[in-house]
Amino acid sequence: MEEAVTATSVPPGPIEVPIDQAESAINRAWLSLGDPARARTLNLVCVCQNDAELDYAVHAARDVIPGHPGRVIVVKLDSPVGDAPVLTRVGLLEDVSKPGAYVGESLVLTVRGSAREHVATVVERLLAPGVPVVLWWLGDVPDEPSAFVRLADRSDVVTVDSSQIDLTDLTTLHRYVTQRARPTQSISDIEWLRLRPWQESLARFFDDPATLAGLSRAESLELAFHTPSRGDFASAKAALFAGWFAARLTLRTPATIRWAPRENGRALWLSRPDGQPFALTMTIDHRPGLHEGALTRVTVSSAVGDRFELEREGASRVLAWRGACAGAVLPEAVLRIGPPDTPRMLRRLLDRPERDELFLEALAQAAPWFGGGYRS
Amino acid sequence: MTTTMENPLRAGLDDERLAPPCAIVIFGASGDLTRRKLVPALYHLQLSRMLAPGSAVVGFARKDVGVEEFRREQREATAQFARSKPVDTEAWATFEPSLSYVHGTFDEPEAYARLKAHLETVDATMGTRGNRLFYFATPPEFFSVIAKHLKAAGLVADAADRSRFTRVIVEKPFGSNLESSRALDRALHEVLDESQIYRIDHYLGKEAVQNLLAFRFGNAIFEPLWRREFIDHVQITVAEEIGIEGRGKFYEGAGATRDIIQNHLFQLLMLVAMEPPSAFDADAVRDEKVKVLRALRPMSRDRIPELTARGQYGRGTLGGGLLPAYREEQDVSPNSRTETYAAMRVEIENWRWQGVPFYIRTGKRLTRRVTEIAVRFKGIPVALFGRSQAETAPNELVLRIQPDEGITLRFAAKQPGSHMVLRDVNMDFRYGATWGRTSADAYERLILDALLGDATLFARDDEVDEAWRYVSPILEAWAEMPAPSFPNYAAGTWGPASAEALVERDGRRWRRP
Repeated sequence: MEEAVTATSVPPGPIEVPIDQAESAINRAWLSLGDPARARTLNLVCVCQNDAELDYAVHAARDVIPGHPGRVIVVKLDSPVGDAPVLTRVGLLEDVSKPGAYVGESLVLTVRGSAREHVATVVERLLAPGVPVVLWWLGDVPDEPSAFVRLADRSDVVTVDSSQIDLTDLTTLHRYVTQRARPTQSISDIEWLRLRPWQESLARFFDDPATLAGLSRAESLELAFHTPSRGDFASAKAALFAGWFAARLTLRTPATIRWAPRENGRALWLSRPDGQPFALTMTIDHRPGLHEGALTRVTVSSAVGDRFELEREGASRVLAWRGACAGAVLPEAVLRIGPPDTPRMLRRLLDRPERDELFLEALAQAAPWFGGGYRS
Repeated sequence: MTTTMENPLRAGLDDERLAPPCAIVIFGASGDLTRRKLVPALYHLQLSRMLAPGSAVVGFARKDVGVEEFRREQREATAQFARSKPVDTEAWATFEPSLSYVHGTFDEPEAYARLKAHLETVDATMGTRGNRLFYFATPPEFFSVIAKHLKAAGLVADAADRSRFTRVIVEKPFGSNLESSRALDRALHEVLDESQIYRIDHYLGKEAVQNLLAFRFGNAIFEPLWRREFIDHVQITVAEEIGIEGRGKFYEGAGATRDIIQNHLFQLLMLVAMEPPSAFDADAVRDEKVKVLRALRPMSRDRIPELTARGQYGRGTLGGGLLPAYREEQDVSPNSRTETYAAMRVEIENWRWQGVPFYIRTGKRLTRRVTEIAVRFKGIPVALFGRSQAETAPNELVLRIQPDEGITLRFAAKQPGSHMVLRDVNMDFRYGATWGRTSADAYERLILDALLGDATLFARDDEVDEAWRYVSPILEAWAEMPAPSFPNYAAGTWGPASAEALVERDGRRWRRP
């Protein structure tokens, strides 16, 4: 119901300064504007591994900051070899919809060599005081000891983007959640938020008592998705969707995980609360034009002919919503899902930064399925 | 809905506030409200994917047009009035097929039979499952007529029926005095349970009004001060720059008190003065709100001239332009006694507010458009810093509802220099500058709430009743008093001298917003 506008970094700045002069450079920038009143609601710390991710993070952060004014610290973890001082570019962020209205501060750090080991302390001294820290970690989630763990430990909200990670990273993230995360800390995933229209659309099938009966008879969930990265047989997105579904239906995972080959995919046998088997199938559905691992079809079905299906039209954002279930009217509908852009997801995350139990539940359910030895 | 609660896949998704499938029937679909507000609001809900797939919007009006013509009209209206432009063609392409139309007059049983058959088709083809939201966007004299016909046609589900719902949104005015308001309530209650009636006051859908609740009950620092021991008085202002904008016929029978004070202004009063509710749900919030109105000290007739002021604008100027007098407006009697300005000093007799006057005022053709609540705190007991401190004003907290929504706190600070000189400074929070985003229109928020069955931001029957119970004797007394010497304020000013006298009598002044 709300529309966001974007901010852009404008003069004064950005200028390059030594790290120990970053704070005073920001103060000078504000003074040059007459030291206007400003609101700070958060520190947004974005950590990335390369220039492409850096650009992506800077643009996304500029997009969300008018809605969540505060300090943005973008850290590029550069080459681990060779020592060099931390390069810092600082500037102010202007709300592009309101020229002259500055809504935040931007610090872009390039950290290389041994300084990478100390990135958490480098960031910590640059945080604006008294407001929460949101860590947005782009790319692979390294296991500890790592910069990820150290920064996450200092953050109130930690978010990753599982569209950019592989299935083992889900396990790493789950380990962090279960072994280190504080009860008040919010852990989330941008990709998880992109699943919401699919979850909503599937849930809508079962708002009716007649279709709800069909759900209790369900014997299989098939997820089809565009080719995932790195040779995985499932995408992190599909894994989280399946984890959510299984957790909600209290499906049980077998003691030994054995993915059986299927045409274009693999299947895992879970069991329903009544002990009956339930098939979870992951199917690769090559659709050029989609992001790696994007969902293309979700089908819940039973042996007695119930079928509830969401299918993406081509590589579009249009879903066909159709089904058949005894005693229920299920007129076919066309649903449009929102663009999967990161700023939009980041905004939603910042709008509701509270701990997402549903995500944690889905992660806990799915992580053991991909614990190891699963690569095709 | 019970079914939603039982759906295991729904759990945890509710925070997205998605409406269940429903047929939304708008009575008065050819009117201005539908074109300007309702259909654009529904389009935005569709755009935000807050309407369920298969939701249907059915227009009902006397005008005999086909469905294609109705869709074309609404498409054009949405292009003109939607808050985000241009209209998203993809979203409209999804939304437009959900629009349909049934023509008929509000007192024609056959029209309701047609509507019923149409809704049954909608249920079968769209999956709306018998859920109905009827929006009475009609003149108030039709409210009870439509309700009776809906009941007679079998279009009202029982409130206890958990498999489907019927809800009715009723536009203000809810009556024109206590008697007519109660008659309307009786008529509606013959057909509907109170839980099915959503009396809309679009003020409550405004972000800044909801922020009043957030401000009061989401912060610990102000609540201990929010009482008679620390607050000197409160001023609530709903000032309009505009005149009656061609609504002379309506306004002649209404006036400022019925149009603004009885509803919008009393809503603000309730939100400022209420006790913390036990929960943020419809009944808990409204229970506390209505207690404020119940605690209002009735005005004895002999004190009404002293505790109220009324006015009517004469010719004047605003922004360099000449403005006509109210009596020169279209459809207004040249001898009109209708008040275009009203102010009152009200008192709330409870432990929190005993002895704290609330000055409320509203008017048309005032200096500027502003709605605000100003809470004036008591002064310091001792002026420790001498004369300069005596010149500073007591602390004041201003909650601005519109325009430029925000909050300002005034306090004294030391002026730089070698002397201890104090000056008033303002600490200013501005919504627009803090969050660079466009809020949903009040109608979007309120229609969505009604679809979700959340009545927190709608007026309950007892609130409306209590508001009329307070205001009606004042209106009656005014009607019986000698005719005031209207016009008594010039357009473009802050109102009549009698309003100034109202507060000056207590040694106070109106704030210049």
